[in-house]
Amino acid sequence: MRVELASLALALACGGACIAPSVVASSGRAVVAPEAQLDWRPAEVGDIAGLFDSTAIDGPVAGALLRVHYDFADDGSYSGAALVQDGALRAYQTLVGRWSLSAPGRLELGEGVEARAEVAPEHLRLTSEAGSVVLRRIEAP
Amino acid sequence: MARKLLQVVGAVALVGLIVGSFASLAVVSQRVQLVVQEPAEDGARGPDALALLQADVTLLRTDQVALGEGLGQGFAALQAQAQAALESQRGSERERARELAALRAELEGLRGELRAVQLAARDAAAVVAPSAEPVPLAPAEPAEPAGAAASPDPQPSAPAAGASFLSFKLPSQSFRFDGRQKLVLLPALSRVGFDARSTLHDFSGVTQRLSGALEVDLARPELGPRGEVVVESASLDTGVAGRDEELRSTLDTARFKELRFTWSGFENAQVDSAQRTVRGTARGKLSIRGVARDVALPVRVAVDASQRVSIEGELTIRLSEFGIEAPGKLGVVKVEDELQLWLALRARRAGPVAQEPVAREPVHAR
Repeated sequence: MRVELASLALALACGGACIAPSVVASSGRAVVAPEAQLDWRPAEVGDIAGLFDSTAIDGPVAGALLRVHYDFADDGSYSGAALVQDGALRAYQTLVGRWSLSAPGRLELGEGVEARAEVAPEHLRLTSEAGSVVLRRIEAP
Repeated sequence: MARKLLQVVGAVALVGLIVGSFASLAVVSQRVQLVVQEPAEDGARGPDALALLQADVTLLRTDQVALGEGLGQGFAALQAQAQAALESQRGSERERARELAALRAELEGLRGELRAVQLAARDAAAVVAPSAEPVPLAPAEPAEPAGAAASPDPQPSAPAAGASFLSFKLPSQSFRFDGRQKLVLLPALSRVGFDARSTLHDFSGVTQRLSGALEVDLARPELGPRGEVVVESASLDTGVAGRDEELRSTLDTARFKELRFTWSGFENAQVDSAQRTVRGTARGKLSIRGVARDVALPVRVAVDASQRVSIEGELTIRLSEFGIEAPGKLGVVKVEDELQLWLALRARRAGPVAQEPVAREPVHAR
C-alpha cells in the first residue's frame, strides 16, 4: 500500500512538474485589446462594403460614444447608428449618406467628413482627430 | 386523148403555181422590211413595281424621320420633367436637412437645460437627503468595446461641445475629476485574479466575468465612497482543466456563485488632480464562499486617454481566514494558504450622482 501511494505521489509530482508555472506578471494584468495585434493596411474600395459593429472605441470620443454600427453598401450609400451618452442619458443617433474613397485609406462620408480607414481581416478601423473606432464585419455585402 | 390533155394542163398549172409562188416571194422580200426593236417606255404599259417599291421606301423614310423627331421631342420633355422632379426632391431634402439641423440644435439646447436641472437636483439632494444605502449593481452594460489604450493619459482631451465624429454629433464629455460620480465597470476591459504558490509550481487564476459600479468623488475619495465588484466564482480560469475543477470544488461554486468586494471607505488618499491620479487604500468587505472579512486594498486610480477610469490594486489574504482549507493531494502537492488577490479594472463614467455628506454623524436639533 505504501509503495502504491508513493508511486502515485511520484506520478503526481512528475505530472505537476511537467506543467509550467502560469503566473500572470503584474505588468500584464490589464486587458489588452486583441485588435491591437491585427495587421492593418490602408483600405481600398473593395474593403469597405459590409455591415459592421464596433469592438473598440478609443480616444476622447470614448467618453460619449458607446457603440457604433455601419452598413456600407456597394453602390456608395451607407447608414450608421451610434449609441451616444450625454450625462446620464443614452440615445441612438442614426444617419445616412454616401461614402467614397478619395485615396487608399481616405474615407469620405459626405459633408466634408473624412476619416483614415484601415482594414485587417474582417475588421475596419476608422480614425479621426477625436478618436478611433474598430469595427468588426458581421455581414458581407 | 382528152385524158392526156387534162394531165398535161394539170402539170402545167402546177408548174405555173410554183413559179408564181417563188416570184411572189421574191417581190415581197424586196418590198417588205422587218424591224425588231425594244418596246417603247411609256405609261401605257401599266404600273412599274420597282418605282412603287422606291416610293414606298421613300415614304417610310419620311415617316421614320418624323417619328424620330417626335420621339426626340417626347424624350426631351420627359427629361425636363424628370430634372424638374429631381430638383424638387433635392430642394425638399435640403429643407429636411435644415429642419433636422434645427431640431438637433433644439435638442442640444434641451440637453443643456436638462443637465443644468440634473446638477441643480444633485446639489439639492446633497443638501436635503443624502443617502447612505449601498450602490445597487449597475444594469447589464452593453458589451463595451475593448480599448487598446492601457496606460493612463494624464491629460486626456475631450471633444468640444457639439463636436462631430464620423458624422455623429457628440456632446461635450470632458471628464470632471472632481464631483461625485458613478462609474460602471467594463467587463471587456477588466480582469481580476489571484496568484497562488504550491509545492510544485505557482499559478494564477483569472476571469473577466465580473460586474459592478462605484460612486466616488475622485478629488475627495474619502468622502463616502461606495460600490461593489462582483465576480462569477466558477469562471476563474487557471489554464488547467483539472485544477479549475478542484478550485470550483474548493470554493463550492455551486452554492456560492459570487465573490464580492463591497467598498465602503478610502484612506491615505494621495490625489493629483493635475495628473488625474489617486493612490490610497480602499477599505471594505471581501466575501469568499459565504464568509465576509474586512480587508484593506491598496489601489492606484487614473483617468486614461479614452476618458475611462483604471483601477489597479492587490492584497494578500489567507484562505484559512475564510474557512477554506488550501487544496492539496496526498500531502505531496499543496497550495499555500496565503495568496495574492489582484484586480485591473476599467470603468466608464455613467454620470453625476448626489454628493455624499461630509459627516455621517446624526444631526441633532438645537
